[in-house]
Amino acid sequence: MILAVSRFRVVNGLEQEVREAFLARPRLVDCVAGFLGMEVFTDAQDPALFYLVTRWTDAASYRTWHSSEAHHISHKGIPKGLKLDPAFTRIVVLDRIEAAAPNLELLAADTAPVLAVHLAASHHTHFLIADPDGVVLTCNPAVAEGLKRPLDEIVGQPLWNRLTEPDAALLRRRLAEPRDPQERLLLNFVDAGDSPYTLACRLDVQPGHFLLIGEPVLADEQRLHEEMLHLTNQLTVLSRENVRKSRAAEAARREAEQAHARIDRILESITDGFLALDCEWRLSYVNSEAARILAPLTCSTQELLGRSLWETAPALAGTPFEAECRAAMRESSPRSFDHRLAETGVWLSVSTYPAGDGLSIYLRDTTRQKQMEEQLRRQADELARIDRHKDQFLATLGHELRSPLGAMSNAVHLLVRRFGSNPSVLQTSELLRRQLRHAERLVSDLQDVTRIKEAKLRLDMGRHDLRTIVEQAVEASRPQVDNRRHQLEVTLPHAPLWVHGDAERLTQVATNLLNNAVKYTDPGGRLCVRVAREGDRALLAVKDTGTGIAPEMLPHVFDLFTQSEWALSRSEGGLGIGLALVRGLVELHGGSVAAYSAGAGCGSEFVVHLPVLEDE
Amino acid sequence: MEPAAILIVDDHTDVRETLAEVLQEEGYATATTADGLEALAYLYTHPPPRIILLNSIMPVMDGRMFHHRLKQDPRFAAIPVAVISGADLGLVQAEFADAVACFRKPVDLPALLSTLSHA
Repeated sequence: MILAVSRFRVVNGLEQEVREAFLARPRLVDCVAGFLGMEVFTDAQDPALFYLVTRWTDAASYRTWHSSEAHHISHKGIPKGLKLDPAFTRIVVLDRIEAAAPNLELLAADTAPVLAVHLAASHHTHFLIADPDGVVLTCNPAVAEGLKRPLDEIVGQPLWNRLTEPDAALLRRRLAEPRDPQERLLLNFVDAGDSPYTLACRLDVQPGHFLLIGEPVLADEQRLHEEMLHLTNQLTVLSRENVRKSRAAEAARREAEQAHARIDRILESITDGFLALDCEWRLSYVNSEAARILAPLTCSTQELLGRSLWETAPALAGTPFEAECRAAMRESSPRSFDHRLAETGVWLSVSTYPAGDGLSIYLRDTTRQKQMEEQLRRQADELARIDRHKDQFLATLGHELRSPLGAMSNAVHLLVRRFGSNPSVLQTSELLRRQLRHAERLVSDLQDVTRIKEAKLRLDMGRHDLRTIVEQAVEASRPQVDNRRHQLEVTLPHAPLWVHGDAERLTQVATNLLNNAVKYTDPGGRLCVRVAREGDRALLAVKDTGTGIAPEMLPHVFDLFTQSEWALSRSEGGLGIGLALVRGLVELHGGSVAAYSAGAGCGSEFVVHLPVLEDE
Repeated sequence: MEPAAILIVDDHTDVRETLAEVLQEEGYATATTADGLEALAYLYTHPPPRIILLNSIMPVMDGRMFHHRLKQDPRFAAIPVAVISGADLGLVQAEFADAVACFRKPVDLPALLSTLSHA
């Protein structure tokens, strides 16, 4: 609460009139908002000195009254001869109304205070009182200044003429239906000059009159207001910007968090162990798999963070693992290596990547893989052992078969020599010789193919005309060809086709291919042998109209002991060595051999290519 | 004096005996032993043969060892040796570089007889 004390001196012996005027509590004071009460005191020694004490709800209300009251009193001419003492105005702020009493007593007990009223005209607060019809009862000089008219022309005149049309209508509406007394009305007055007069005021409607009280809105203020508005708007924009920025920052933070969480999830979900180290070898990240591998007794990965890797996994210290990691850190280059944990026997495939000023390490538990590799290696060793054993067996078999063949061959020779005059013996001996030759050829092939595999076959290399070699092979195979009534067509080039090789072995190649064709073609078939030069290669092709080769068999025809089911059912089946020997011998000569067939029953063609030896 | 024999050294009895028979049919005197050691014993107790037909792979003392001992002994170093083996001819030729001939089993008898007629 505000307690305002003003002091004034009454001159011209009108003290009594002034006192009565104040104590009459003019309706003006009554109708002023925030007015709580008024007391008038006189000085005992100086009856002309008055002290006026007014009580207000707030300072603003007091200040409004302060200027208007003075005006009212002076202009209504209530007490003529009232001398103001503007130097004396004391405003006391009280927390509670009750608190005012001691002050009043104090004031009253003061050295003969005479209450006075400070009735200075205000230039800040504008007020105007009108009757319910809008006829102006009074206003202060500030209003007259704003309207640029003398008071006489304002007082007693209807207010409506002074207001702009929309605002007059607004005021009428408010008078008819009063609203919140604190509502600020912006009233534009019609004025004579260039500068507009606008009043930002409160409307106080009372029985018999109404009061407009407020401050003018000056052009400067308007500009100021606009600037304020602009600034406010800017502030709003800025704050929006800030909000937006902070939202963006928030979004970025959230996104980063999400990304982090995502990376966490990824690193947790990968089956690899992953750990990140700073340059001091402290763990800055470790996923659960890495923790499982390196520190199996750890409850959570969190407790590993910040700890040294070498402390966390002491088994790694001083091992090649540490050496590799230190090298990776030192050289700032990625490294990959395998490491076996001595304690657990776990095999790790380790990849290290320099990251910033630290190191990222991926660990993959390859124990199972290593075990499988080891198992495979053992199996491969075992297979190789069995294979060697088989080769050894074949070599021994070949060798051991030769002695009985030798003995039989010798025996046949003796038979013929001793009993050759008997045609029956001669015929049987010839059969024995043929079969012995066949058996010997099988043994030879078996031994040759073993020799090739062991890289022990010796070639007697020389310069040979491939035409001659093929002619010899054709000659050697002629009996079989004729025996099966095959039609044999041989196409040779006119010029010699020189190759570098072992004549006997190359003849063996051609013979084997030809015998193969004879064997796998039903009697009366057609065989074509063609020799030609193709660029820097010599071509030998043997084509037949025989049984052909099923597509699934085609990739395996040159494998040792490979035979078709069909071939196995034939008496001429053989051991499945011939083509393996062909490939081995051709490759020993730097050449290649390929088989072609449209399928079973479609015939087949074997094509050998050998490097050509240019004419000297 | 008994004509110089052809010494056959082979662990395979039938090979040894049939070959001996074939050669006897052709008029050659023959002697047979089953391994290198027996052959050495024969050499120590008999006049030197005109030629030795030697198998390479045998038990007790194989052809290589026998050949080596033969060439080291001045009494026998000059005796010609022809190798008859079940092994790869190329390998045999490499092993027995100074053999007068190398044959693979079953031996080509006309070729062998030709070699013997020149030995």
